[in-house]
Amino acid sequence: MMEKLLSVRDLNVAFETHDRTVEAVSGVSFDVAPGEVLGLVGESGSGKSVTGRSLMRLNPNYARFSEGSSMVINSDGGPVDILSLKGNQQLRKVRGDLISMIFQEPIASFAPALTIGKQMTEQLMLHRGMSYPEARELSIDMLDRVGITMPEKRIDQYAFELSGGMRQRAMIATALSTRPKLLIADEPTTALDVTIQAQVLKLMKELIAEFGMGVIFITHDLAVISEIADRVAVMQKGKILEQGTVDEVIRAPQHAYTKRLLAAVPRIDESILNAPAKPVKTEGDTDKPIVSVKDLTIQFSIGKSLLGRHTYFTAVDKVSFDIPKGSFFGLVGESGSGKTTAGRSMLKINNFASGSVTYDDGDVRYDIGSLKKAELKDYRSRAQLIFQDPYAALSPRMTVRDIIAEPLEMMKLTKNRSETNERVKEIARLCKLDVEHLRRFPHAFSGGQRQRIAIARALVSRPKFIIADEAVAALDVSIQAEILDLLKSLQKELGLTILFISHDLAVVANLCDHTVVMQQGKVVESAPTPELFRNPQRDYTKALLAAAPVLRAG
Amino acid sequence: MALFSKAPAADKDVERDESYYTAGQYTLIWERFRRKRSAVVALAILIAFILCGVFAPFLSPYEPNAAGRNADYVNGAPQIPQFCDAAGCSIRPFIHKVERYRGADTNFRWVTRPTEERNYVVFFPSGWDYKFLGLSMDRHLFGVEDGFMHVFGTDSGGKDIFSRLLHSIGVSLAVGTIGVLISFVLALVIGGAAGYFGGWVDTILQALMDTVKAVPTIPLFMAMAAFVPQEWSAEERFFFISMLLGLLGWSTLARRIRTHVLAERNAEYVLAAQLSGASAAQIIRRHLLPSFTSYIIVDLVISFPYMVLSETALSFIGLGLKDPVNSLGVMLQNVTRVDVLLNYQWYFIPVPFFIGLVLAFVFVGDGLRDAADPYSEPK
Amino acid sequence: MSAFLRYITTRFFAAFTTMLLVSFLVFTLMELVPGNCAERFLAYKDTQGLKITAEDILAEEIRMGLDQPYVIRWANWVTDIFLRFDLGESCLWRVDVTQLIGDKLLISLGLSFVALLLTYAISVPVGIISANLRDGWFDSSLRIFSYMGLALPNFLLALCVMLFSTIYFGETMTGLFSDAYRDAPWSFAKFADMMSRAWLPIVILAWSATAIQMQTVRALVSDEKDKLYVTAARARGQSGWGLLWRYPSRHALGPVINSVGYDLNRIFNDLPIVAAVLVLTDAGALLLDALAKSNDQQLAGAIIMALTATIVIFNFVTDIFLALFDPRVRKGFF
Repeated sequence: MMEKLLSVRDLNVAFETHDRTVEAVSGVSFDVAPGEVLGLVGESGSGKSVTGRSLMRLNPNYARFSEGSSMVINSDGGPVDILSLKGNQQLRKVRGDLISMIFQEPIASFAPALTIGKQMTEQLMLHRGMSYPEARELSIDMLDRVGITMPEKRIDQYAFELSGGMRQRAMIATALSTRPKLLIADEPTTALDVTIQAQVLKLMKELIAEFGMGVIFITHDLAVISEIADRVAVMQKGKILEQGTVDEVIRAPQHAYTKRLLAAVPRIDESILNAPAKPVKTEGDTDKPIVSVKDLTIQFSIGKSLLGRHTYFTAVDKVSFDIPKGSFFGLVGESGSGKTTAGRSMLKINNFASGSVTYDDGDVRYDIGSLKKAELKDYRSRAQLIFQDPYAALSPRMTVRDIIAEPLEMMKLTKNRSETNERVKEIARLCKLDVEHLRRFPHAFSGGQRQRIAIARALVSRPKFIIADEAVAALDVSIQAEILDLLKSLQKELGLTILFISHDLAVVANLCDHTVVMQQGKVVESAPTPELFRNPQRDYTKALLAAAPVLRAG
Repeated sequence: MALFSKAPAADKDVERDESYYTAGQYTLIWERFRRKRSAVVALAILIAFILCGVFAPFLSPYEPNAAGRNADYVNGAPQIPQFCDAAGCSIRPFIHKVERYRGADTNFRWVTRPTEERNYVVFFPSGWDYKFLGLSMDRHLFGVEDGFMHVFGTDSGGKDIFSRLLHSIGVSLAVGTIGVLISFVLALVIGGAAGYFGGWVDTILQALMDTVKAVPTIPLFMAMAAFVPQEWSAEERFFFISMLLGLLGWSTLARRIRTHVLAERNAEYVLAAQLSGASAAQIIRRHLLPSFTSYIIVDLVISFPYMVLSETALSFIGLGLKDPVNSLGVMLQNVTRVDVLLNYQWYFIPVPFFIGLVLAFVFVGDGLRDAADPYSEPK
Repeated sequence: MSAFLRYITTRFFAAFTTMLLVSFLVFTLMELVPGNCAERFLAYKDTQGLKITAEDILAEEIRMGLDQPYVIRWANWVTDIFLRFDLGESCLWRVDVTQLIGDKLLISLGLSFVALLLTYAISVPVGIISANLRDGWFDSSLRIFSYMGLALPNFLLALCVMLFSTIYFGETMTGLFSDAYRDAPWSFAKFADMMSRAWLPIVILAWSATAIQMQTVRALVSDEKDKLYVTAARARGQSGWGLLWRYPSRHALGPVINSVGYDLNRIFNDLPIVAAVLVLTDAGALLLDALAKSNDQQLAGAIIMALTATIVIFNFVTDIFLALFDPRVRKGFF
């Protein structure tokens, strides 16, 4: 056993608000050795971030550490008891000197009105007594080390002038410039696109090997943990349920919660790759696609010059694909790929510059570009949208019953109120909502239940075509699995066609029959899902697949 | 792709009862407002002020204008009801009567001086006639057996300051209400249109808001109010001033309404309603209006004191309301005279009441502002 | 750099448009006033014992160009102001408004600017300190002070000051000059005399604006304090006043800079009334005179234009400051 770097024993953190005390972390104990990466994994509210911040004493001032909590970090000058540090001078020891931290949102963790350099050098000047020119030189070296091109130029730029990946690299450079013994990384790759995430993870691995510091890697993503961590601790409701090496925990989880969590993580495994492709519809087939997109192009005005000339940004560029009736159709891409814009234009939320979208469910046929008012109203009952953020998508001022009933009432699809109520109850049961809860308001519900309400609203008008736009991206992984199961069963039961827009390859692989990959407004590749994942044709698809973190043991 | 890890709106760990889950927006706002003690106290005081204003005729023993003057007690000091004097104590409160006197000791000038004679306070006496809710009445809360009692003293015309104060509260509230309502309608139309339609409509309306906001309002009020014909009646002046306050005071409110509309309009649940087939009118009625009524109420309460202050300032310099309409500004018109400053400090009694009125609005507005969005995390 | 230039050009045009709109608004309001300038002048002459006929009024109207269409008169008025700084003639006294209000306007603006400086010299540091001591006794007393700034408007404060000074010092502390210097030509002694008396109106003028601005600064800094980059800076070991100044305060100052013009407006609003209470003969009181006593719309319009122009120019200047201060504005990120 190596010498310990950090030793946390029986950590208890409570938040005292005016009317009650909430236990955020209770009885947490773990060790980190030099050069070791400990993954701290859990869903929202598990207390993993609070634990991380406690190590640097960055908790809000209403946080209380209870008696018996102990956090000790070994430095060259002997062990430091973190909880006994008093005053800013002493606390500096664990803030930027022995311990550094990187955060989830790289744009928000840099101050907007100060250059990157001003913020980087500050730490070196504070802790290493460097002069500004010395600190600046070292910072440029660090920026160079983390793979930032033209570091002499970048150091005088502001965070908003860098791309997301660059910002996070700069953040890592800042954190490591003082050569801390311990690095705390709080969801450092969560806000990044999957290819950027892979690059940042690779960089972090290199730097850990080079610098030899201990790392606490906080994340909700088990796959990311399995790629980077040596050991893992699973947290739930402020407690560590189990900890061990990544192999042990992922191969043979002991705790029921860990098992559930692991089972919920979507994987791209053999059964998917080897699944037979669904029969491809041939030209002469009478079963036409329900939605057919041809040369769709969408532009946005991004400002006007002084002379009044508009400049345009092309969000979607000549995109074509057919969505077969009754299929689960995946549309994947990174941010800025135009997947959401393309999806929304199928519901006539935004207008398109050229191309066409045709909807044909056998009963009616609509050309979405030129829908008349009455047709649009009918189309709204046939095609619906499920949103990403279940908090923003439900009016907080309406009861659940009124929310679900809204399409029926607005489109006058029912004859009277009792019929409406019957339909609402029916769809609520279908979406596994408690009928007794219909008179509640959305604030009574958690994210997963809210998403069920949103799904119920989308389905109440008995549509044939549903667009699910990142419908599970904002949810915790266990809730995500429940919602995906629900969508699957609903699709079968109701014979829906679902266009599933996502950034998450694993989810799409598990769900969809056919997958379209988009990049910067263009379709890169389109193939039946097993084929696409087994044998990607384009470089971008290959890079995307290679970059996706995969849950693996060992 | 960003993953939001939102704090759960309702603590999942904390069990709440069903009434919380089924509580609508106003119940939640009230619950949150109620927790702030200063706001609740301010609300009680505000309601008391409003009642004072509404029932001013009943509460005032005398008419607040020349008709109710006490010619024998000009610039008279406050007469505080007492229970005891040199002659002993009584259960009924009383004041001492005053008499007009002229003698060698006063250089043969008329003065008013108190006598030993008691004048008992009575309740619900009949006094001057007034109309309330269309009914003619003459009962008042209190008075004295004989002659006059001026608890806050009298002014240079012998008018009862207490009665004037009560009426001026009513007038200030009325001016504020009319002004706020006018500016509210303007702000709702202009700010609402700017926020809802966006584009060039927004650009033009914003330029208009910027313009109106850049003009210093009080000098402009003065310019306008100065041209009111002298022959206008007190009522005409009253409505003119209120309208002026409303017509010039809408820009800040309009900007705020624009921001609210803009934010709510782009909310996803509004898009969801659109996809549910709701028309523009239905979206405005079902979603936009309920979502920002609470904010509008807050804005109205907050802008109320500004209206009252502007009216007071205008009246104070003689360009606003005029006698016989009472308002705080009218009452303070003559207090800068040196003899008033030196000898008749009870002229200043209305000032603390006025401050109290404004503070009550400010605290209620403050409490409401914190409570107006019950779906955010409490601060 | 080009983004910066574009920003400044846009702001300049916005300011210019505002100025045009304001001039139109003021001109229109002055037009709506019953009776025109010629009638007013002649009616005034009438009171001096001269007999005036309808023909005289007509002749005077033609001489003054009042027979021309409304829009043309507005255009003439605006071009005179913008191109020649000519505010026109007073309706009554028949002298240049510029001459009439010249040094009085300057004193008014001087008083207002000093009051504005005082406002920010107090409110910014106190607001920042209060945000740092969030929820302590200092913070809550500041809150009460801010409420008083609203509830006790400047002119009431002036009244109270007068009341107390009369009772305790036997002096009302009014007027900007002592009797000896009131009509004396400008000299150092007169200036010194003014300064010895000017502090009171300046403090009173700054009162409401300070109280309210303090609360604003506090709220802004307090909001910034909760942002992630502040936590990040703390995690790097930054602490205390260094942290507070470099991060939340610096980043909160953008909106504060933006509100300077608005505060100037607030002070201009208080000026005439405080001037009336404290018997100051500056533009505020002059305006009051011009309006309340003589109904001189030409003069009133000129004063309102001058005040508004000051505010608009000020807003433009603060826009430039904002760009210098905030790289996001400068680099066209917004």
